[in-house]
Amino acid sequence: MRIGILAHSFSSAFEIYKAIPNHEVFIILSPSPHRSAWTSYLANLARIVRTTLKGLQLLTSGRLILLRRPLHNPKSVDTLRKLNLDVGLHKAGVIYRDVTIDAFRLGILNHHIGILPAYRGRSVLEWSILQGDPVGVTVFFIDTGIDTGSRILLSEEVDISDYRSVTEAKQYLFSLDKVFFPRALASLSEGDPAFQVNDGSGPRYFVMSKLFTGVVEQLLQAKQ
Amino acid sequence: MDTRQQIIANALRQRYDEIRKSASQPFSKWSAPVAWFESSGDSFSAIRALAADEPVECIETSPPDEPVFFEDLMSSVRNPQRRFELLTTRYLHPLNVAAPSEHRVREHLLERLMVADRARIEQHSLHLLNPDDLLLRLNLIAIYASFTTDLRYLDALNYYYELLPSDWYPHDSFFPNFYLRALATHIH
Repeated sequence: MRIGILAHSFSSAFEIYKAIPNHEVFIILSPSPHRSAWTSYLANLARIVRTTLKGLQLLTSGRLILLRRPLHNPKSVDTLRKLNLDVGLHKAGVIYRDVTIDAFRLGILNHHIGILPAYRGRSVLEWSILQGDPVGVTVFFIDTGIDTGSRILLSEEVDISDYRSVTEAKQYLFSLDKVFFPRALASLSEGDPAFQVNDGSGPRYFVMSKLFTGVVEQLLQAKQ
Repeated sequence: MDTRQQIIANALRQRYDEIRKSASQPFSKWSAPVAWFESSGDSFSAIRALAADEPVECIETSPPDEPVFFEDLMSSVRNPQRRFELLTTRYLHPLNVAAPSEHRVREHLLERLMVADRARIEQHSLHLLNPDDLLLRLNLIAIYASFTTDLRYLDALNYYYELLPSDWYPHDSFFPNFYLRALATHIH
């Protein structure tokens, strides 16, 4: 399959790139919403030139694309369409619009560090622990809502009992994208995957207060 | 009570002890409307009375139309003055925010507080927000947090208590009283 990794920084996209050797993979870097488009573009270019030979090789072979405009911009969408990509892998900190999602034949996959449909939104690891529910990962095709995409490809509980802090546990769950994205792509490659349905029935969670984050830290330590 | 519930209750009790120095107590029990409470006065007087734990008449009636109000509310996301007027007109009896018909409204108010407004405050733009509108929404969320076991509502209060400078609140904000009550209902 032809895969596009959508990210703001080369380093995060390259980790995924290395984990999916059996596909035709493109890295598409778009400007970070927290920086100006040009600063973002130049910073990425400088990082690639300075740090990785592989990055340079990808750039010269046309497998690394640096967009100068946001992903929903018509010129960016046009670039995506011309790549004839089957699937996008979400590593960019943005909410996608339909025009961007539609540029991929099957859609854009998200590696969400919570169990859907129960845990949508922000701080879902913390909220799951606070409420005594299982912690896990869901890989699903996104839509324009907040974790409301209806097609779930994988959803699994993950054991985090070895981790003593929220930060460590969160880093661990995020790092599992290198495991779950390849599995999701393998399932798609086999054809006709059985999707679970995300009915969007769970509430949307928000950033957690310091008070409750402290509670979650205590709960993690109590489990040791 | 299991370990998890105990740890949560301990943290809430600690916060309760911290706030009760600046808020009035104890509290009489409120009832949530089965459908809707009739109202005879204005929203501000009713909020003041509830914050002071004075008796507020609660006579059941049928709820007003929700879809039209919700549409108006959604269209006023960038007009805080209009939103303030809409909310004070609808919640002449503030306990009505806990009515079953108000689910979408509550979720919308919670989302605005925890996404757009929070982001603006964290970007040092608190002065750009309309304080009357912000406090009204915080008070309504706090009132509902006293009725629900959904911890997201209580945590929005936790978050704003940690976020807003302590000298920001106007003298008649009532927020500490409502927050204290919400904490109390989750502790006991």
